[in-house]
Amino acid sequence: MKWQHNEPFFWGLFGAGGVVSAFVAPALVLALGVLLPLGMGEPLNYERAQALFGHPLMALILWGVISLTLWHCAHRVFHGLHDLGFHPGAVARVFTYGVAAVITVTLPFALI
Amino acid sequence: MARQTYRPTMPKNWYLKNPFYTRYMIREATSVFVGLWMLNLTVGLWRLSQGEAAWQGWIDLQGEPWMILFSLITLGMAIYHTVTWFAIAPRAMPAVIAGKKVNPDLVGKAHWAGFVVASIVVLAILL
Amino acid sequence: MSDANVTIEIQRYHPETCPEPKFGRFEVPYHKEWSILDALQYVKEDLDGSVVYRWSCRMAVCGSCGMVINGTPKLACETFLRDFGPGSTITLEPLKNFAIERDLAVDLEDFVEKLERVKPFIVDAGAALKKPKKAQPPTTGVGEYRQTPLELSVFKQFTMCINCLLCYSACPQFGLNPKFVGPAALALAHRYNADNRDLGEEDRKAVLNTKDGVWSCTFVGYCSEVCPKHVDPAAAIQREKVNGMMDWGLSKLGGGE
Ligand code: SF4
Ligand code: FES
Repeated sequence: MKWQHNEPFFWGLFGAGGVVSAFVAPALVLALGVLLPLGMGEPLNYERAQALFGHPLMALILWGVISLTLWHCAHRVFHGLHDLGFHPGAVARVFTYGVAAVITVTLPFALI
Repeated sequence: MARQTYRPTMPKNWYLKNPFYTRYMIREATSVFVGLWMLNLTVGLWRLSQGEAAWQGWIDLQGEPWMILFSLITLGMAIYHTVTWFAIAPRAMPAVIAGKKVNPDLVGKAHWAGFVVASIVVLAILL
Repeated sequence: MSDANVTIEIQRYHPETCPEPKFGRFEVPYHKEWSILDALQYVKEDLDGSVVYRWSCRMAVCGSCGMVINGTPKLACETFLRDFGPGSTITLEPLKNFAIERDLAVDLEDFVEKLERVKPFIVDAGAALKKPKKAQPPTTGVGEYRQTPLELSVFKQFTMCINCLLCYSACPQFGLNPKFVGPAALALAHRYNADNRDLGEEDRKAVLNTKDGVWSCTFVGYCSEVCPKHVDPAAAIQREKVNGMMDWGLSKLGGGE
């Protein structure tokens, strides 16, 4: 049977991002978005941030978590538009999957 | 001859008509917050690559009250995603893996155990 | 005997006499052992013979009496007046997302056509004896299969479907896109795909792998919630998505047909 669409590809990334973000997003947001800005924990100054996020393994993990989560979110937003009664087309694809794709490709440059 | 039937139309706000649908839409909406937050983190990593002043600017931004509020909402949304995802994942798995019947309850519990371990690791590294 | 009543509000539609749906109110004596179906029989026999609804078994096996009761898709024969109590008002509407024929009876043709398309039967069982798929299902002589309890457990829950269509009424994706094959038909497709005696997986791909097949599902999950037989069609669809993803991957690697 010939495949007429590539939905399994997007669904696969959606699933992977769903798993990853389910496990780590709450702790990530809690630490970086709430506790550290409120002065709890060791301040994340430039030196510490560079040592932490500059580590190749950390960079790889961050790349995986951020990219996959964005693919996950893109998929949900795209299908959510359909649920809201819009008929998402090429423009919606660019602003959802397109963003995820751009970040997936460019994030490594920021991390290196 | 085709019979005459009545085809009702689905209301545009169908997801407000049933609490189950509303919870589904909230589940889908978690992705908007989590996605925007991840974009914010992406900006942070990009600022980090630009040097100390740029990074400090991003860190200061995270401390703005409205930004902390956004992170708090995102935190709630992220937990909502985790809860709903773990409720579904065990059911969506194959019924038999490696010749063994999968026990969805056990898989669900294993997910939560993994979540606790992952959260401790993330917090230990970042704090 | 009862001295209390319940009010049954039935959504009426009749192409000739009532072309715009509107509710009819009926006072029915309250008996705690009466089902909604019993109340409907009372209405039809004693109050208004023109009320149309479907039923047969009165014991939740035929799947004819599905309707929307106080907003929730349910079987009328296993929902009781005591669930609401004396003096209550109970609204009955036809299953949502379907074309209405009369009152509580909806048009099932579209569903039957979809069901036929997924081949809800064991395909080519004879050939399976000679050329088994996957891991060799051991056979005992001609015309018999040995199916282990484990092999049965993979699909057993999906055999419980009674085609009551409560799940279609519960599914907003079917409401938004009537071409969506929908929960019960997809769950039955999975039931046969997952059966080690069946050889029809390749045929069913033509339906499952399309956008209107499993890929229209976003796991709202209300279908599984309302299913009176605990079939969990949403789970069946996810498993077929996983199969579809493998098939898609293989096709891109040039490995699939
Ligand atoms: S899957 Fe459940 S709700 Fe759907 S038709 Fe079958 S028995 Fe009814
Ligand atoms: S009358 Fe048969 S299922 Fe209700």
